Amino acid sequence: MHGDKLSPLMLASLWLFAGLLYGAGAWLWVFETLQAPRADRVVVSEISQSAEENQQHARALEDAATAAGARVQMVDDETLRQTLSQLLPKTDSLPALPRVAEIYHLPPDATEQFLETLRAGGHWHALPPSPATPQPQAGQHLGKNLFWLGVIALAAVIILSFAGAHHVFIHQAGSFAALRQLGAPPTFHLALALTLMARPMFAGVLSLGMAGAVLMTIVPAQPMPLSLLWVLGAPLLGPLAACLLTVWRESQK
Amino acid sequence: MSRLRCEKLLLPPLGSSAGPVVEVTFSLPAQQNAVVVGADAALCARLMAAFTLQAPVRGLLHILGHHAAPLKGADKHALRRRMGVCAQKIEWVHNISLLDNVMLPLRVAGVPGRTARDQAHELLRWLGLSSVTGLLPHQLSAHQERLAAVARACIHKPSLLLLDEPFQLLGDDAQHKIWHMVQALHAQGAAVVLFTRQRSWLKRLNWPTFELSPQGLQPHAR
Repeated sequence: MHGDKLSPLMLASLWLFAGLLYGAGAWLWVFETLQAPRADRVVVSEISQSAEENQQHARALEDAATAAGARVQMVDDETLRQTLSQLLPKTDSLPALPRVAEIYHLPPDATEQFLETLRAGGHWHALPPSPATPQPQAGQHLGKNLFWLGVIALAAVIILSFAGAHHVFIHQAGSFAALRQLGAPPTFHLALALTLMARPMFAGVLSLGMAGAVLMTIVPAQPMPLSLLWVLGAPLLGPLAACLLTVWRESQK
Repeated sequence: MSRLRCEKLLLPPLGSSAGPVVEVTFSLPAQQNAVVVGADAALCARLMAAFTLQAPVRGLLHILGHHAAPLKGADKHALRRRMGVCAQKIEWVHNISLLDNVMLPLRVAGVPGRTARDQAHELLRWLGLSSVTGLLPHQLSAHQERLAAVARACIHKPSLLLLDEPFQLLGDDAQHKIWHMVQALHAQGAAVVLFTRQRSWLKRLNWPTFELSPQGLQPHAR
């Protein structure tokens, strides 16, 4: 925050950048999650040693799904591992790695008939509907990545603003020494520290806080107060931490 | 009871400065003031730092009836509030005006803002500084700064007044006013210790005098 170390303008720019990154990332993340296809049912088959039998079972499943007006998508090994870890308490309770298929667009009124068909076939078993939100597919992590980059950038804002504030306080050591000599209690030191920080903090919050508030009100990522506090509070947390550290150090002298 | 007493008080060099550790034994006689003379300004600053609890206390130091070494936190602040200090290096709160700086000891003592402001204004006016009350400390001349620093040290009527070269750079009129203020405080019960390198002052002060040297603090023969 001090001119020769880190200008308020640079810090404000970084703050704006971090806030945009965070807000845009959160928005995209939510959007991706909402858009991710969700299986209506997940079914599991015991694996057979015979590839031909496996194909027969798969065809039987596809026939049953088609008859019910649904679509089948076989799950690849990697996704299978993730799905099983979410759906089954003990993956190793299965005798062998099963085949898993996800059933999409299964009409609710056709569900019972579809499940009955599976039970009659004896190969596929429907798992209970999972409350877990499906993960976005590979290549759909842009929002999540931006969000966490924003979090890291905001953390950097906190650290840099702390360093800037601390530098100001060191520069003003004489003022704190004057208060110390007078036997001033810590509240006076805190008041002085806050006064020294008031201008950059006020300017920063006033100029960019409004932008941040507008940005965050359109992002349904988290409960609003938390998001707003995090983004708007980031440039304040560093100086506040530096204030408290300085007051604590002065109280020890 | 002695207002200020120390035995085998060690004065290490301040900050990064060099020099031997000096051992000091001293007692300020009851109801009396004292003058400390010494050619070494750095040594005087070390003693001043010890007496004002700005440096770690190594040895026995009694100030206003309190054993200073174990004091910490609020107790240390409370003892400092009973002292008035004008050191060689004058420290100000740089971002507030002279008037606010001078009224600070009163505010720290809990005096309401308006009363403190009026008292500070009156004192500065009496000292001839009413035209500069709104200036920041760095805008003052050396003469004004010294005068204001003594005013700040005295305004809250301390029980122990420690002044390092309070008359330096001051004209006769200002010196007279300072002297009047110090005497008035002493008449109200304050003990005063005056540090000076100007031996000419010894003739004007009929106070017990001590010589500060690397060998310690010894009674000074006039």
